[in-house]
Amino acid sequence: MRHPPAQRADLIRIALMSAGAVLMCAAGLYAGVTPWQAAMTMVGAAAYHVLAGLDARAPHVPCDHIQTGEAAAGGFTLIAVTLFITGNPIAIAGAVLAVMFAYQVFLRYAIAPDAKEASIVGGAVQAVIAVIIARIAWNAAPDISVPAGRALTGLVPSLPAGPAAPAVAVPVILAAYALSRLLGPELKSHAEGPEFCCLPGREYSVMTWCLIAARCALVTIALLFSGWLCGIGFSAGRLYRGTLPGIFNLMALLAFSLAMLLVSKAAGTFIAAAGAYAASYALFFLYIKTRGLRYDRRETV
Amino acid sequence: MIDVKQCSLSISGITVLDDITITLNDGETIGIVGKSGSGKTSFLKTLAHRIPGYGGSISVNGAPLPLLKSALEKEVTYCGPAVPANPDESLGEFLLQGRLPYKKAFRPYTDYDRQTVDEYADILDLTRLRAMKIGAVPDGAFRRALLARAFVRGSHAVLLDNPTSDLDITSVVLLQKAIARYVIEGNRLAVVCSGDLNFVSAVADRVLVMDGGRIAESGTVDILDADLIKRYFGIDVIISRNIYNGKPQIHSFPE
Repeated sequence: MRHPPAQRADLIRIALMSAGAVLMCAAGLYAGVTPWQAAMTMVGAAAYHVLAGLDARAPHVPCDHIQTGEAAAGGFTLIAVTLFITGNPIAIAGAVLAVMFAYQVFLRYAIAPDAKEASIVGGAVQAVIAVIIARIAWNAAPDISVPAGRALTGLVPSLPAGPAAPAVAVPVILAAYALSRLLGPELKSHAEGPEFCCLPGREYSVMTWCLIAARCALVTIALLFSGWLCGIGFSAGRLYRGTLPGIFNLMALLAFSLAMLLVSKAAGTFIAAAGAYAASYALFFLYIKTRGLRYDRRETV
Repeated sequence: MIDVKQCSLSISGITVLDDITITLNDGETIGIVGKSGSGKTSFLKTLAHRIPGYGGSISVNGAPLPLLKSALEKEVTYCGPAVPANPDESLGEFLLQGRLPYKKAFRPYTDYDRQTVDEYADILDLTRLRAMKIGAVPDGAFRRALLARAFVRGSHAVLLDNPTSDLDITSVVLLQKAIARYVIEGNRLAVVCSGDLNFVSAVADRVLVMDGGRIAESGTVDILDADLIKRYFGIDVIISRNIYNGKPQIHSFPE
């Protein structure tokens, strides 16, 4: 279906949001955020934006990576590997990716929550991980504050500036974005479920696994590059009712993540992460409350 | 043409289909009627390869059904009462997805795809609802959308399972037009399974009466008489003739 032309009001909103992103970036640089930190946070936000675009066609996951528990699982993996195994960034990235994949398989095939249950399961996972981390911190054996800070604001921004990390992440983000646009109709068909998907049986399974892999890669990049600072993408995108929602969502993500980065510089990492966490849930509940559709048809097959 | 030879199916030890042999020809509209549990839906789903593990053979234009694989979507389309998972999709996009088997990867839909969608959206009075999201569409319109999506596919055979459920009288008439266009335009095959005997009488060229997993009777719609209905449905009816097309009109009455 062809989209209507952009309305003037929508263009103004997008321009304002873009200006907000630029303002947050400038304020952050003024407050001491390095260009490297700002750039890597934006890479994480871009990964999250592509992820939100993929999941916009999968309403069985109406919540973002914070609410599903992926952020908690990824953060815990980062902390545990750093404290007890190695501080090597590549090893940490590999471990986070592996855990994200295992978590997705666990979520989809072992728990298999429906749309409402996904956030409840995520909340339970967060609670369990919080208890474990509190226990580790209570013992105060290894110093947890540094890896915890990296888990919350991203590992890569804390590393020395270098091309390696973005050289891996940016092509993945661009490839995922390009494929999601080129295969848009196929993805939309896949989102209707196996009963309605027009792809034959085997192709449906292959696409399911490809989407799982893409999600794991993008969540890993988002966590490693911007931590918990950009978790508003899903709800923000779905609340926006204007034209060009993709551009608006991207600008909103950039503005928000850079704002949280500024807060982390001014008030501390944990305050910024708490703010991002609260914003994520606030928008999520706002979306649940104000969404126009309550899908009450039930399968009769 | 769909050729069924000695098709049998058991589920959990219960015989659902029992040695069915029938040929469904191109250019026909086949109506399948029978009491609940007679095997109508199971037969339809077996024809659509939705239920594997049947005995016997089913072939579509000479090609065995299990071997069609990716071509199955272009040969047979099943339209049942299932509900799609994404309520936020627009109705127009939902209809367009029916053309996906013909779409090349990484290419957009063609003008022919959009034109086909336009035609059936117009026939089934869905044009004004195309921008609406699926979750917001009224149930009757949603049912018409499911049917339109099946017709839009343009496959060789369309299998409609209880298509008149949730449809008002206007929509039923639109559905009749859509079926007629679908069958005549492309010399295709439509198989309609319904508990609405009058609807089957109105659209079908040939009627199959199922009972206990078998095809008990088959013939033109004129076989739908009071005796047959008493025999297979256990109720008394009066048969009149539709003043427009002369086809049997079934009237039931409470005792």
